[in-house]
Amino acid sequence: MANQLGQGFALTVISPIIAGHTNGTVHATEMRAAFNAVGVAADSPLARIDTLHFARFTVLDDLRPQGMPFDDDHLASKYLVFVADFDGDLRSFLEALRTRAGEFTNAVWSNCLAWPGTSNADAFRQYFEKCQLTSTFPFGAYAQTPLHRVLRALDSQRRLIAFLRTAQGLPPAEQLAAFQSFTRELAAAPLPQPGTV
Amino acid sequence: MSNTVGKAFAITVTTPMPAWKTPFLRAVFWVIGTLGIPKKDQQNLVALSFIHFARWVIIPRGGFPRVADSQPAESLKHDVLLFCSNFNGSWEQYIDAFSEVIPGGMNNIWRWSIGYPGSRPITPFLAYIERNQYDNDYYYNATPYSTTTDILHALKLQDELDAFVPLTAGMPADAFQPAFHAFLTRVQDCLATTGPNPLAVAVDVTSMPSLAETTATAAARV
Repeated sequence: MANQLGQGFALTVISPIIAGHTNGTVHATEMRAAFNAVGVAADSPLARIDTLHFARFTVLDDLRPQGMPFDDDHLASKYLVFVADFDGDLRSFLEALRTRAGEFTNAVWSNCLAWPGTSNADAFRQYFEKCQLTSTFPFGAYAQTPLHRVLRALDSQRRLIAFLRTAQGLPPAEQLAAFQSFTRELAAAPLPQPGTV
Repeated sequence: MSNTVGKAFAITVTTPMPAWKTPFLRAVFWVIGTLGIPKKDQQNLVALSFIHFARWVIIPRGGFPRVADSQPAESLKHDVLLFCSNFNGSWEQYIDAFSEVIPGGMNNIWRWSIGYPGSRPITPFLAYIERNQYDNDYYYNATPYSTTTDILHALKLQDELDAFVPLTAGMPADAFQPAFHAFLTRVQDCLATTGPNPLAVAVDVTSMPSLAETTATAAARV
């Protein structure tokens, strides 16, 4: 299956946005307000999903015009494109999206047609399966590596560089003692939060 | 608009394709993915090391999801090729690098799309991508202060460190230093510092937390 990418998954979802407005709320505008209301990187609600490398949300208002003599296509609905690269399988990711970023997810997708909400896990999963497209050709430079390993490696890199700044030029016995102390600190270091490295 | 978080840029492009040409593009992807051809383009792409994750998605003209009877049915005349990429650098650098390094690969993928001018010369190619791209409404990146190269090098460093540390247990000091120097020689290309985007593009992450701040934040979550 082309959605499988290394040990992870390349998810592509397209959800039709409710046309026009309900009680004065234009849904595409309301959705954009929901994006604007949350932080980025470590402050993003998506940072609570510790298997998620990248995600994007894009509103397709219409397809792009190609100009004459092309007979342009136009969409009958606006769509939300949701693209995510994460570790593991789709079911686990959707459950994490529902339970760890549920408020944000609801604020965004409540502007889409047939949105079931986040309270029913089966209905939630079935909605995404209905709106999912198969990724024809995914690519990942480190798709074999789960996010926790990436975060750990970047943290080790920073710590080693900091250690080298202090340990250069020490006599052998002191350098060995310093290195052993460094490795103990490294082993005890907590995993950095997604979005902080 | 939210195309940039830290050092990563998100590009989203759709282009229309006549439906009868779509099987040819599927064949191109099959050849690239299954047979690994053309190898040179793939090697060049990997060597560029500036793409974290990317994907192409062929959306058949009848393939837009219809989830309710109240949703108007689409009546598109063309299939759509969706391209999404997470990369380092500016938009112009990215398209320019594609055009310069893998012009044949780009042509093999987009030649089936209507109006595609070819990857060279660069100016009409840039205009084509610009005309067909979308600004993203929200973008999330779990490693905003690190480029693809930073991550690949950090992973190499971690592997080397994992192998080296056990060897130092019980090692005498006079044996440690040459072994440590040899280790540092092996990982010397993996010791670049990471941090905020040096480019003058929209940096929406104010500054990278210090090591102490990162540790404190992570510890607080445990």
